[in-house]
Amino acid sequence: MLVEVILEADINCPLCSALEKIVKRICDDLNVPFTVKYATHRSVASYEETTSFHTFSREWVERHGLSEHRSVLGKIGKVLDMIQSAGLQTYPNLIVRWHDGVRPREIVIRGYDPREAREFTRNLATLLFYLKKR
Amino acid sequence: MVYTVFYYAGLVFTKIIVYIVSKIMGLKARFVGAKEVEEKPPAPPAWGWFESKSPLGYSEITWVGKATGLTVSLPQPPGANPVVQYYSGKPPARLYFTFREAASKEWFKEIEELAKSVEEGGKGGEGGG
Repeated sequence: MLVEVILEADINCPLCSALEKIVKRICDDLNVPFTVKYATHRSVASYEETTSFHTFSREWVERHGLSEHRSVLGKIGKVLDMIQSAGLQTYPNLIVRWHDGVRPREIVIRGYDPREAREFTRNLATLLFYLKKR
Repeated sequence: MVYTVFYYAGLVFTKIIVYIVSKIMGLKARFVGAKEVEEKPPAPPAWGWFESKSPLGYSEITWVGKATGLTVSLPQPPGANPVVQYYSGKPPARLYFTFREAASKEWFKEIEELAKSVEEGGKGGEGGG
């Protein structure tokens, strides 16, 4: 199966570079294509679809969010609007993308915490190994 | 004075000759019949915009330069590309997870449950996580 891993990162983000080292090592071991996309709002390819904004907009929560998210939308709506208008983005976003023959599918993992890097590494390696062998 | 006379005399003489020759040519064309000239097809343009096909078989627009022979291929606009049309209505099915969820032991169970809920929900789109 066609699998690729994309890291949406910012140049000045130390967590991004730490995560990049881990993911790059896993991808090298498993022979999975790995690319880093600097997808800030100042980047050249800013017109490309990015996952940075999705879950922080009112429209996204109304359309795709869980019922728990929608129930608290009245309270957090203003905050979401502020985030959208200010152009705040979260990094890093790790995207595991594969194609199952029908359509592309993606798993997006947001953020990075060095304290749980060990468990995350194990889970990610298992996932990529499974997708690669499938 | 003398030169002017020679000038006008030469002019009249030349006009007479040209008139006679043209009349003879006209009569010749009228009675003998003009030869049918075969029209050659115009040569294909060597430079400009051309419609071409990519190695994968999709139509492209190619520019070939006049002086340097620069070749640039541009894909057709998205509306004309059947592949883009196919995927434009179908965004990739995305599942969102926080890092803590991804580091937990029950992450794979969550993936399965979310994938099921997305497929059964029939939204065909993104799932929240």
